[in-house]
Amino acid sequence: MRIAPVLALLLTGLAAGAAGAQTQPDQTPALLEIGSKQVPLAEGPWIAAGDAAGRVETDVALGGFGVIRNLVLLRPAVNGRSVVAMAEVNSNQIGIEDGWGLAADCEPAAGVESAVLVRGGWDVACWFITARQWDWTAEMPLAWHQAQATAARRGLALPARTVTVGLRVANRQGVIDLRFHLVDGKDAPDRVALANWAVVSLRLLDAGLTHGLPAGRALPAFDAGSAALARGGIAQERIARLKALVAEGALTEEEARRQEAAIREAAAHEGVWSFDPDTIDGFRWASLQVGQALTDASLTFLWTAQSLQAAAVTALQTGARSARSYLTSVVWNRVRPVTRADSARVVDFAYGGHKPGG
Amino acid sequence: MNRTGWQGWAMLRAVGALALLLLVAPAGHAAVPNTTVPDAALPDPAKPGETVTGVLEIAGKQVPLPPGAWVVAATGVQPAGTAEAPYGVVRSAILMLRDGDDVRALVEVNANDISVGAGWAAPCGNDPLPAERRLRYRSRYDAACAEAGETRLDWIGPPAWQAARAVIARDHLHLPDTMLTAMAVCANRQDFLEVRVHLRRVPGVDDDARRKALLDWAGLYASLVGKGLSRDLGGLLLDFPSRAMLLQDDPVLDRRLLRIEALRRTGVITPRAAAEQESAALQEVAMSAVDPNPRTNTLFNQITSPLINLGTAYSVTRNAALSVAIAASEHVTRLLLVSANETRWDAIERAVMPTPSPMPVLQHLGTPVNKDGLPRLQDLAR
Repeated sequence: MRIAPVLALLLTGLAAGAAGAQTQPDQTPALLEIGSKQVPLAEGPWIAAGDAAGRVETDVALGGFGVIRNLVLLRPAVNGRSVVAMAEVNSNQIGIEDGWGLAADCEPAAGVESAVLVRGGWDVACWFITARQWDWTAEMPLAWHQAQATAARRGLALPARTVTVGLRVANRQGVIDLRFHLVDGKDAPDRVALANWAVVSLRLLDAGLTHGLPAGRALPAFDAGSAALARGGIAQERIARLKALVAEGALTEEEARRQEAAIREAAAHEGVWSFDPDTIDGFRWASLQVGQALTDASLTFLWTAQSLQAAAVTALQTGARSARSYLTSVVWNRVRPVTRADSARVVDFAYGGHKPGG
Repeated sequence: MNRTGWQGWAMLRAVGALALLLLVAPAGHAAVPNTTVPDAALPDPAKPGETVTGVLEIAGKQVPLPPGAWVVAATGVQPAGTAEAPYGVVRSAILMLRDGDDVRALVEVNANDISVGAGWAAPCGNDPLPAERRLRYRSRYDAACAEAGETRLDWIGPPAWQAARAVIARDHLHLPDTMLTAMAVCANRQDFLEVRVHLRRVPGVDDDARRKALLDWAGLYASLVGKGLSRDLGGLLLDFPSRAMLLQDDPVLDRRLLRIEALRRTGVITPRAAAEQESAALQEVAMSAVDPNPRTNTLFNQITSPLINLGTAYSVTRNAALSVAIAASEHVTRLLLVSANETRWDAIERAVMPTPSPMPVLQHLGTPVNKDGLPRLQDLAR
């Protein structure tokens, strides 16, 4: 009776050892480098399974980016017979001058949870969570074919359904689109935990975009606890840096206190939806026009005491001023032609899998 | 530009680049370059007295240096301001290039120590920009610009300049009274980097031509500073203005074209894709965000709105006194309305968009002067 648990433990250990030998991790580093950018992966082992030229799916002029690196990495289950998570990276090899854009999946849609935290004509940061289905016999990007071959060689079963959490950061020069496809099952993290994870991870990925991550820095594991720890950790790291500056004599205590308060306030507001500057400017202009038309009508009526005259004057004034504003904008943009709206466009790549029902 | 010199130099560079590619490209390897682990740690920042060539490391950023052995004369931090932005401190460094006992050139660098998250408010200044400043691009979250001018090298300046002056005095070096100054500022959502290169005057060159050439050079230099901000300098260098304007077009573009060529040669992209990429790279322009000012509140609008109101009121009422009364009251109301509208939308903007950090007020070495050696009006106004 007493020997049974020991035997069971021994057999389990042997099985795990065999599985370990079968799925020996390929020593994939936690922090990849593509062009001048750093792409951190979630904590844990990853097998580099696919690495090929990716494809831009959106018809926009992007400049000379060279090639889109499309990497696929697999995480084997403990038993070594299946895959529990897949990572998919798309990023430009050569920096360009005029920016990228949002992923279409970051836009609000049915069955998609998403948030755009930075949104502008050249800078974006957004995340999303959605479901994805996988038909491994269908046409897919080359890196995914390579990944499929790698999985077959290692005897790893690939999933048919995943929960996908995606992160997109971009600036004027570069873009990183990082997607983790987690096998949809009872062990999959819930969406609330994933959303918290995404907010923290987006910030780290954003630092990687400008090569600002310390060596070996990984994204947290896909659970709420790790994400919460990482979230606190990022703010604490910055506060610790302030304290080091005080110790160095470069910063006064008072200034460090002010900056610490700003760090804590920024952390508290993290994850808020953002609009793009051009939209805000449009609303700003429209509200001024409405307000001005109303006050013009009221004032003209006060002076003339005739509603018809007031309406006619207001209509003429509003029309003439709008035409003036439009012409001014046209002339201004001709004088300074190297301008465009500070409004995020959508730029997508060829991804693995497809939307349910898609 | 001397085209003969340029062609010769271009050929030399192309041959050099090809030779380098042959050396570094793995034989028969037709896949995308391997993913590599990053550097174990950032290189240590340079310390006073050290000699630096090529690139200066400061606050996690790379500063491109014109050719020569630059001596770090002093390092320091900008005096603490009252900004609420959590950028830690602004680190400064002053480097000098000697020519015997003469100081041939100075480089003055300022960079934030801790990254922020939503960019910087007007890193290139607000409109109207000074005539000597050339904007490369500007949006809510980033900006880059260049400027050319002249600086009187007096004792005015940050602590790093005081320390550098002490070193120059200790070593009995000759510092000219004034130097030509090229300035480049680049800022992105996380960081900013400002570099000023002060150069000894070359006698016998027309002043206006020199300033224009210096501004052109500063524009090229700003594109390199932008690469340094993202730690993407990777061997990019720019010669001093006198040689650079003869030899080089745009080193950043040249490198991009060479990289595309390398991708084609290694089979990563097809010749057709490479040709498309090269064409796209040649047409690339760093665009700025449309200026919202013409739509809302420019001086032009403030002048034309009362005239439009007066004209339309008279066309309907046919009463001059009444039209003036209507137009005047509407104008006063409009001024109040614009102010209230701006205040309200500024508050909304702060709530729904990340707010850029206030740009720290930086102290610079010396006093900017105009062609006559007098302090510039725009600097006095500040």
